[in-house]
Amino acid sequence: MAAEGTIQRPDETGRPMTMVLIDASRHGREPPADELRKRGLEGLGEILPRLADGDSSVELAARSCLRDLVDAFLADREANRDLFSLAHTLGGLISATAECFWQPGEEVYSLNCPVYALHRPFAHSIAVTVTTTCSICGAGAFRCLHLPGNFYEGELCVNEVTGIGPVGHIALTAKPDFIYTWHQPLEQPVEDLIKRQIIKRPGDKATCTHCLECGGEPTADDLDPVTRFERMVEEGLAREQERPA
Amino acid sequence: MPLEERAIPLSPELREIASDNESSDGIAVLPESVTEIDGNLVAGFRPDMQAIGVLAAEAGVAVELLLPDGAEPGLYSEHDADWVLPLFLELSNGVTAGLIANYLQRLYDEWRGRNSGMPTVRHREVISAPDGTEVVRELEGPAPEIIEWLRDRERDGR
Repeated sequence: MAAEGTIQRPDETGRPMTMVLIDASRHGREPPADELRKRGLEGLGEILPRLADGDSSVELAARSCLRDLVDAFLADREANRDLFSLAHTLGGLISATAECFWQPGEEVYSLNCPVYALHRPFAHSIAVTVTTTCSICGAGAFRCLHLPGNFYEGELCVNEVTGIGPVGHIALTAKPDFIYTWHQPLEQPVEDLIKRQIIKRPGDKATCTHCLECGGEPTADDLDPVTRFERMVEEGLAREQERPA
Repeated sequence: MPLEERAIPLSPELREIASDNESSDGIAVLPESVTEIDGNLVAGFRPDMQAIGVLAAEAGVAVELLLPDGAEPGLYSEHDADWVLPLFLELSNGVTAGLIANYLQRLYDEWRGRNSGMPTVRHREVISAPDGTEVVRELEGPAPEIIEWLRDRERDGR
């Protein structure tokens, strides 16, 4: 399915949080883990020597490669556990050559970096219905026998979205349909950044050095986010029950 | 890992659609949701229905999307178990159960070559409970076990 959109909902602190409405598959389908891995490692082979030489002109290609490595891990954590570490290595080199800047805002600074998806405890899923037409024959949903992701006379079949219905429900989950939903902008209140002496005043430049500081080794929880999320839910429920009425 | 089976009451909206349609020799599918998009009534079905429809056409099995009056079909998406099959109206014979098993087997074979771990499958089917009410029978478990369960039904012709 190829559709794009975002919605805003408040997070646990009440601040608005942007959520991806529907996966926007770059190829009309979600690339499988092995394809992402292959693409990421091929890119890494080309980029790594240049970054190591301090060549910052490959920054964009390096960030795209970083996304592939992270997505491959998110798509199949056990098979791609080595990519967790490789992504941090690449992130560290990007950080050292091109630097990673927080986007300053009035109240919060934000950062869109795929590396943080590696550490996120849950993603989200949104129930939604869309109307579509087939890119091959123009028929409505389920009205033809073309399969999205297949090629017909050299043309890739995709479902082109013509209308998006209201959001049914939003679920926090460690087992989302779409790996893209693991990616969320990271936000830090200006106040916190000042307290931590990262900036002196709002608008100051702030760089992210996570990849240089993180060990880059996946924990058992990183490899099994479903169990971690179930534990988080149980702990949350237990705390609720302990709370006096 | 045992298969987990549940019986879930059918929503009034879906009960109305189901009661208007009797199970046929082919595959009949209920929508996951009915909503309005750009002023049109749209019934959402899971994307897998497209591939199942193609497989059914190849096997000469009729597929019917059960739509409320005036609705057009759309694509429904949400998270859940690894693979959630469309909501079938009672599969009345072994051929249809076999077809779904073939679809899952194909999906699993393709998946197995490219991933580790084990996908969970949720099969859902509207059946008549002993008291005559229609309920959704949900069966969830590892892909090979769901496939085997469907194969048993194919062999038994039910």
